[in-house]
Amino acid sequence: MEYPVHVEGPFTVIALNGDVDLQNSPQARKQILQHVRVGAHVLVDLSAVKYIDSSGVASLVEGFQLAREKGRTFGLAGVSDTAMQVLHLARLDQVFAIRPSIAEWLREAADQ
Amino acid sequence: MEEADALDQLADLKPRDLPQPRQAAIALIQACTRSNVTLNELGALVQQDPTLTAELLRIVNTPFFGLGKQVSSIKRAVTVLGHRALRNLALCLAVRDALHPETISGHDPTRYWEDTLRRAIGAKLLAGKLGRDADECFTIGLLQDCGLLVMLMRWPERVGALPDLLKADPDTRYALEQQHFGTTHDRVAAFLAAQWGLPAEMIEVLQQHHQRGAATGVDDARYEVLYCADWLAAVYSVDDKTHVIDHCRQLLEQHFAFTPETTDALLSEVPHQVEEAATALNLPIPQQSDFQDILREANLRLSEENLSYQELTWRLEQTLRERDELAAELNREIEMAREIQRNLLPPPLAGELIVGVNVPARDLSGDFYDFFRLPDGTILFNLGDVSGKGVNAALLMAKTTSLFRCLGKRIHDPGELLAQINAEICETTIRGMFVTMIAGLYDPQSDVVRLANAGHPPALLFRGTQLSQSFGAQAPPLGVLPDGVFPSGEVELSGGTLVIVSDGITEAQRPDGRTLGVMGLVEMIAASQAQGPRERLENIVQQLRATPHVLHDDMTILMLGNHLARSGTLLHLRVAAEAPQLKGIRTRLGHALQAAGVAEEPRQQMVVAVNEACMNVIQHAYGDRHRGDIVVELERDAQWLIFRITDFAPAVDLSVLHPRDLAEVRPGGLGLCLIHTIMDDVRYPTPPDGAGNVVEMRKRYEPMESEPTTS
Repeated sequence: MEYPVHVEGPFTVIALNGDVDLQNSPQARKQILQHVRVGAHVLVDLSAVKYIDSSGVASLVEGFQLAREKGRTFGLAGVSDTAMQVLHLARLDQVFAIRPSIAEWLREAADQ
Repeated sequence: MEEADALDQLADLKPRDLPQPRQAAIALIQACTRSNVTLNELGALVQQDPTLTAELLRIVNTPFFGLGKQVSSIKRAVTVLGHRALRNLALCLAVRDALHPETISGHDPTRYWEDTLRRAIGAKLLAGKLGRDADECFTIGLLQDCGLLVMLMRWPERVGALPDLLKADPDTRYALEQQHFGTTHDRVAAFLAAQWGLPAEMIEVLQQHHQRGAATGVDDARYEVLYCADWLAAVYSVDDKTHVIDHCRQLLEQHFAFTPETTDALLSEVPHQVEEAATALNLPIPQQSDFQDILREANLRLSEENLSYQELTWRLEQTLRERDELAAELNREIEMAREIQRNLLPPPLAGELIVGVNVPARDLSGDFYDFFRLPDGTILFNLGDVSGKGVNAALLMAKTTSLFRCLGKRIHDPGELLAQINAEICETTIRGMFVTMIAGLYDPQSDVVRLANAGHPPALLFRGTQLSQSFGAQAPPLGVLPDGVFPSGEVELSGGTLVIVSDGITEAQRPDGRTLGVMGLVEMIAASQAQGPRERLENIVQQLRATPHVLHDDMTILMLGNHLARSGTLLHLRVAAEAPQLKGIRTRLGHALQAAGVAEEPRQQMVVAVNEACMNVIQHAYGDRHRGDIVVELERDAQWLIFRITDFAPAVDLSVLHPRDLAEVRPGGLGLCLIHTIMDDVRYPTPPDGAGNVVEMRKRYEPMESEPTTS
């Protein structure tokens, strides 16, 4: 199963959904790293995610680290309460760049 | 006796005070009665009185008394009439001239005369139909009411009774006369007739027509004729015409074998004849109603009565409908009250250290129980029973349980709490109502209860299946003594169960008719040992309520103890240790925690931790080289939720398991970090035989407000 990807303004948006757990996180990781690797500014839309476990979070951490190396943007949008809880427990809510929505990311990009 | 007296009193009327006809008329009447009188003699008698002469000549030429041909001389009149008819005519004139109804105040003379004429006409018509002497009956009929007039002259102060007499049917009127005057018109009329020197046989008929005329088969039909004539006249004078018309038809059928049609035909002749007679006698009367009008009026009255019957039915239906609506409204209100009452019962407390069941006998309960956790983790509880049943008991129940909840937040000693509630109830409660209550403070850590009992049946302490101790009342019920003292004492449960019931339980009837009693309850508690605490209580109440044909009381039962919770395995799950199983594990665990009353946020966190532990088993214990199952268990005791994850993979080197440093941002080790952050305690106990690794995570119960188990 592929997660849908589309380009919005300067960003490549990867929309994860459902339970991003051990079962599905390898696919998420593959797609995230693939786009970061080619130098895209990547946003991960988590608004349709019902559950994310440490393996899903790890995929996000990897994407974040690779993007930082490449000097590219790596941001999160639409983080649900459940997902935020996990990020918060791991203190990662202070590490990731998080905006309420993709639209918010676009507005900020337009302002610069 | 009274009657004799009343008649005697007539004697003190001076002769001149009595109605007096013209002397000539009396002389003529008396002469007519003699059998040897000649027509010449009679003619001479009449002609002695010019007034009488003129009147007689006028009257014999009226259509009513008329002879069918013009008569212009007394001699001719006397010859044509014969002495009997002459006597009757003379008598009619005598009555007319002698009676002066207009002299009696409060008496309408026109009504008197029309009534009198109706009787006379009725008698005349009946006699004519029967082939009797119609004129004589007319005359006697005319005389009847003289009696009434004389009574009114003698006792003018009783004139007030007159309207009722005139409206009454003949039998009622007869009784009313007796009641008001002590005598009756027939006797008085006979008395007057005797004074006038009228013939004895005429007097006899006058005097006896009520007494003898009411019976059938009388030898002289004149009695019956006169009696029935009264009824015929009444058709035109009484209010209740329907009844009188019916009665006339029956009467004439009984007496004379008349058909109803004959009777009606007779009746319909009355008004016309009355008018003619009035003209002939020169008497003032109002215009007479037609019999058809009378019939119409009667029918109208009847239909009005029918109408009012229909209306009555309609009103009754309306009232019933209103009653049903009100009853439905009341039911709705009671249902609402019941709903409120249900909501006054506490939601299940997380961990089920204490469970209660309340089943009202009727819609509303006089029993109640309550419990809630205090911030220090102890549980304050009560069980009470309000005297009486129904709405008043329910209201007092609501008040008492509210007081308990409100005051209990500040006052934790059960004895002191009961004293405060007692003081409040005594201040405002209706005399005669009281509340029995056990209140207690339970510390699950030490398994000790501080208990106070106000007039309630004993609290029972069970150890296993045995009743170990009971704790009876040490104070009167609440609401009896304003200054009551309510001692409290400590009960060490030490793994036992404390059971508190309302008397609706112990006094319940078993199917064999015996009362359950404490020992019966002990048996039931012992027999239900294997079930979960709530299930246990519900089963006990259900069994007791199953007894048929018995009025059940409110039934309330409360059970508490540490071991109730310890017995609880909330989840036991064994699945293949594979990633696709994780979602199912998370779902099942979430439901089990929710059922245990764990609030949403801690619930989600616990699911995260268990999910991470399972991931570790899949990823690291089994890895790519091994396959096997994973067992997830959730248990609880008084303080802890215990999560146990068991696998059957090769033993893992525990020294490599350590959480990641949170300051370090890297993907690995995040799972263990989450587990340690979420759980209060993580242990790796020695695995049981055959198992590979065990991780046991504990999370302390938050002293949180409980939430319902249903979602």
